[in-house]
Order: sequence, then C-alpha cells, then structure tokens
Amino acid sequence: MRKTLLISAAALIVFAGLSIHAFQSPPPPPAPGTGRLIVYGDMALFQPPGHPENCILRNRFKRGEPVGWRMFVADPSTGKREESAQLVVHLIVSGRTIDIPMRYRATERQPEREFWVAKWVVPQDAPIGIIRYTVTATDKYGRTGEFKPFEVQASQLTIVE
Amino acid sequence: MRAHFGPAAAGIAALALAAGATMALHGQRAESQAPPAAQGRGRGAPLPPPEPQAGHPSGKLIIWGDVASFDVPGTLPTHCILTNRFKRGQRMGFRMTAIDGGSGETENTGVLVAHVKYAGTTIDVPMRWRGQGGFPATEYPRQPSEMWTGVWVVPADAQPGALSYTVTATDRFGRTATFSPFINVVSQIAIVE
Repeated sequence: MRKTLLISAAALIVFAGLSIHAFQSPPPPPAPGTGRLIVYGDMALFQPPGHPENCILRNRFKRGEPVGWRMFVADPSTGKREESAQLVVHLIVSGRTIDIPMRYRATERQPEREFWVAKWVVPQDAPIGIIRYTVTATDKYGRTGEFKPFEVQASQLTIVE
Repeated sequence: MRAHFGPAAAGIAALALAAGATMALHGQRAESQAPPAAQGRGRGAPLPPPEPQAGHPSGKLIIWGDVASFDVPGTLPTHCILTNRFKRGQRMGFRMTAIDGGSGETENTGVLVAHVKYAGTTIDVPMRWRGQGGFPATEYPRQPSEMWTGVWVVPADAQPGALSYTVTATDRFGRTATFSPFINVVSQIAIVE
C-alpha cells in the first residue's frame, strides 16, 4: 500500500514537472503595445528626384551634399510597421546635437513607401571626419526604440573633402 | 484500497512516461529541425553553438541590415563603405542583424542566408555570425556580436543592371524572418561598368 502510494506520488511529481516545463516553453510573445520598438534603416544620397544618383546608398558625403536617412519601425510582437511612431535623427556635429524629425514617406499616391525619411545638407563648415548619429522612435503606446549603425569605422557617416 | 490505487498509480505512471517520451521526441525533432550552424568557410573547424540566452524566444524574430563594399584588403579606402553599386569582380557584402523582438536583444542562434537573384537563378549566400571568432581590431571597436556577414563576388561576365535580393533567417526556436531592402529602384543592388 505504502509502496503504491509512493509510486503514485513520484509519478505525479514527474508528470507535474513535465507539464510545467511544457507550459513554460516557449513563453508567449509580448502583448501588442508592450516591449521596445525595433528601429532600422539605412543612409542614402538624397538628391532631387530625377538626379541619377538620387537614393543611392552612401555613407561618405561632401560638404553641400544632402544626407538622407530612411527608417522603418517594427512592433516587436508582430514585426509589422508601427504607424504611430515618431522618429528623430540625432546628429552630433562639432560637439553639438542636431535633432532632425523624420517624415513618414507614404502618401495616397505612393502608399508603398512605408518608411520614414529625413534629410540633412552637410554645412560648408562641417568638420572632415566621422559624424555619429542615432535615430530614436516613440509611438502612441509610449514605447521607444533606438537605431545605431553597425559599429564599423569605415561605414559611419563620414564627411570627406 | 489496493484495488483502487493500483490502477490509478499505473495510469499516472503511464501518463508521466508518455509525457516524458513526447517531450523527448519533441526535443529530438527540434534538434533535427534546427538549421546547421554557420560554417567557418575555410576558417577552420566550426565554432561551438552560442550560449542560450535567457528569456529567448520572445516576440517576433526581426532582421535588418544593409549592403556594403567588402573590398579586400581591409586597408582599401572602399572597404566597408556603404554602396549599392558594384563592379565586376567586386565583393558585395551583406551585413545583417537578427533581433529577438520581445527582448530587443540579438538572437544569436539566427541562421541567415542572403538570396541574390542573378541571371535567372537565385544564389544563396550563407552568412556568418560575427559574435564568435576573431575580428580585426582596426575595423571594429569590439566584437560585432550583433552582426552577420556574407559575401558574393560579382562575376566577371555579369551584365550591368539592377539585381534584387532578400535575406531570410531561422532560429533554434523555429522562428523565421525575411528582410527586403526599401523598394526604391535606385537603391537596389546594381552592377555597373
């Protein structure tokens, strides 16, 4: 009798443990509206439309050239675009931070352009060398996110002669 | 009493065994489905799998990245600069990251492959996770643990024109993700004279 009870108890413990493990793995995704926004994108030359080099990818710019950012914001739980996001590019130039608000690019005529853009024309007195930048985003749920470019020296936004 | 507990105990034990067997099978299946680790591509034996990350998986697997010139040697002025225009013989570099959406951390079990549409075929370019192995300190201030890289050398007989590409990822939890660059035509990778 005692042996039977012991076996039953042991089996119950093992079963309960396995069940808990099964329920714990994998954890459910975060509910919509929670977590950190995923912000990503690239940098391009933002010449006027029709210019042969408009929108080619670049990280080296001369003074007077228009630096362009294109960014996307993803909801961390769905991976889909978070429409309510507001983005700002933060440039550090000569020790000063310049904030450039980004604009959502899609319009009624071009709904496929589901990304945000910003432009900065390199000033004539900009120092030669690397300019650090980040892009931050906030959405209507109060979530935030930040983009930083890959930490590769040669790929940073660089002002050249 | 014994008549009641005997079958009950046997039943519970059988349930426990069945559950255990199911989990063992599940684990085996997950292992067998897990994609192979990124290979060293001539850099010696494959490195051991990375340490499990607490809290993963959570949310969606999200990947993003860009393209750059992977000209070698690294001292070349065009090495690792962003570009989408490449000449024949040039090394087209794909740089990506994989994020565990819920935690916002790098998902280091991601296996990424770039798919280049070229001359009517799709060329699969396996990507290497840079969180392991050596890295040139002249180029990186730290181990680039958030980065995967892959290289495709533009063939010498390639025709000038735009190409399209995507990058796909899977992780050890079975999550998948696909990256496509922004749709602007001029920004697509292109082969130029």
